Amino acid sequence: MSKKFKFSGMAALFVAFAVLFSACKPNDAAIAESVKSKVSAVAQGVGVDVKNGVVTLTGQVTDEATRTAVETALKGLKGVKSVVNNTTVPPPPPPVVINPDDTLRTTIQASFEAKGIKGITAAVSNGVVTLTGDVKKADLAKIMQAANEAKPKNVVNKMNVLK
Amino acid sequence: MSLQDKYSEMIAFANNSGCTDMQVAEQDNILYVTCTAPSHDVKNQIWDVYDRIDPDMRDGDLVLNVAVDAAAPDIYVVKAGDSLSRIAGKYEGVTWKAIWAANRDILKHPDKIYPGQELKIPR
Repeated sequence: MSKKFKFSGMAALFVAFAVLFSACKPNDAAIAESVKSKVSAVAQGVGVDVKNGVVTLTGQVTDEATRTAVETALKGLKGVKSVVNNTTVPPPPPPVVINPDDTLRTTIQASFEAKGIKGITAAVSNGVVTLTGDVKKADLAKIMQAANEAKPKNVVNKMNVLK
Repeated sequence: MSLQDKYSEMIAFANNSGCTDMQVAEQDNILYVTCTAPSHDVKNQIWDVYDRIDPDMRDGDLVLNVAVDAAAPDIYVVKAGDSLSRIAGKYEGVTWKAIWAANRDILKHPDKIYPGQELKIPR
């Protein structure tokens, strides 16, 4: 076997490997394209970056479930080695403020007086304000506002609305 | 139907009317909606939408707290069926006479107000 043949044989083998290798592993730009189409089906506004098959996701998604879904959508996608999920979810809303019963009683009483509301009883128990008495429809919202704005757990309207 | 769906019309109305600091939270099957309205008029309209979704507000599944922007000029747009005393009833510590006095430039008689008129509400 001549030296020349040996060399060209190795070169052919090398080319064959290179072709095989690149066929198995699409380049980063191509991966990014397929990742983007998968991601956009789940959530909008997610940034995609691909380096050597490692996908990095950035941006804000609506909730934790979407955050997981975006990552799951990329499972088994050709060329994706791993996923770094740097997406964020918005912080949870601040907890609902509910005033203690004593504060509710005094706040509602003061508000009733300021608005000139008479003949309505606001019973407060465990944060729940129960309204009783006769009310004209035109005054209903005013009374409900006084109760709602004291920051109760709930308002139960048992008032008799006169038409 | 979730509570957010039930009251979505009201929340959308508030957002579209220039309300700020909108907070919507659901806890123990009660929806808590808090926001700041640009005027008393918008606040009253939000309450009107609430009353339309839940007539007489008897369902006990919403705590609605609409504040009014302190810097807002108080303009009330007259609706059909309004009277000065009815309008005064919507504002804390305001009498119909005070509204009449503040709007003598556009009103000729306290009983003659028309839908669409913009009344200044004295504070």
